[in-house]
Amino acid sequence: MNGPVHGEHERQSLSRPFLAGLQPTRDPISVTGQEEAGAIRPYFVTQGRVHQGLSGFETIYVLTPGGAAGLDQLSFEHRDIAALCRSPQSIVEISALLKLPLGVATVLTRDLATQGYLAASEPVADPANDPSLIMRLINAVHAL
Amino acid sequence: MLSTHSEHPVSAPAPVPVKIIVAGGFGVGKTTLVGAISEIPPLTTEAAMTSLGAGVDNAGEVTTKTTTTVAMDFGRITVDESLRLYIFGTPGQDRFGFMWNELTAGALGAIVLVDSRRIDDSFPALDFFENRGLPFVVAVNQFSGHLSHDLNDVREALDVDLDVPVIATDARSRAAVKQTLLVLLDVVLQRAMGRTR
Repeated sequence: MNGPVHGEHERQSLSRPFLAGLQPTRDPISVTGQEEAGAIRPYFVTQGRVHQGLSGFETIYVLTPGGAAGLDQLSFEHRDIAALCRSPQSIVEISALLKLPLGVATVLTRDLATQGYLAASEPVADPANDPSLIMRLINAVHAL
Repeated sequence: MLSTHSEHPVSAPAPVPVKIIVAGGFGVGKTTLVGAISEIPPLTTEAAMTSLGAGVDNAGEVTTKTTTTVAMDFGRITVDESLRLYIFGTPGQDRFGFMWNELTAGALGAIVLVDSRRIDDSFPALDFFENRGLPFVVAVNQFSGHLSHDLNDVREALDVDLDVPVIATDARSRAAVKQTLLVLLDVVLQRAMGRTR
């Protein structure tokens, strides 16, 4: 009955949980199942600063000419990020490629932008209202 | 080193990002779908998310903060030198509802990937996108090459508006995923044209 396969009747009688105001409790699935306990060192390198949430995580950063010249002056973690951004990388890519929690990658990357090592390209403000941008996407996907 | 393509000319501005969300229940094929269309192998990032007082049903005197580590898979498509599309696969369960506001902020639209044998897994995502007015398509993943249910039955069970496309896809197939993306982009375009008319 409660298995993943629902009979025809049961399926049709299901109400949409949010609309019905129900909060069905589900077994935790699709989380990594890890507590943060293993993440001590990354938070150490941010000196305790934590970026909560996900805002701006697709912002793309690229190394500036001045940043390229000053790479050697950077601390280990900052230098890894700056070097990676020789080709443009979003914060999520920096996080994934350098295996840093997203909040840590955000703090360190923004440090570098503040100091002029990296230049930021923020997400398009309102892409859903920009037909010409959507056409560029359509053409690009067509060409895949 | 980690760079997978030719070096960006220093001083050229970075491309501007735009994103699309792929939501759906656990094991429905989100990561497979992302991988089928992405120009890089799907990457995973982990975000520690704090939800305030989630699930507290005491008299309200205790405010608990629950920290959950949420894994997101994503891929990307280079549109041109000044525009890059990211495709994010995100856990679609109710318990992650608290993060969807931030996750979907500025998103162009969403694909709700559905396993027709576990259709209620997609309800939270559908409700969220409907309430937010974010354009979306429902893509029913064909496991082992065929649909378990008729698309009309799925539409009825999901109770989505008639203007929401309900289509079959195959998360493993680049061609099928490309088509799914084009259907979504068409919905997005129609809506944008309607607004700017």
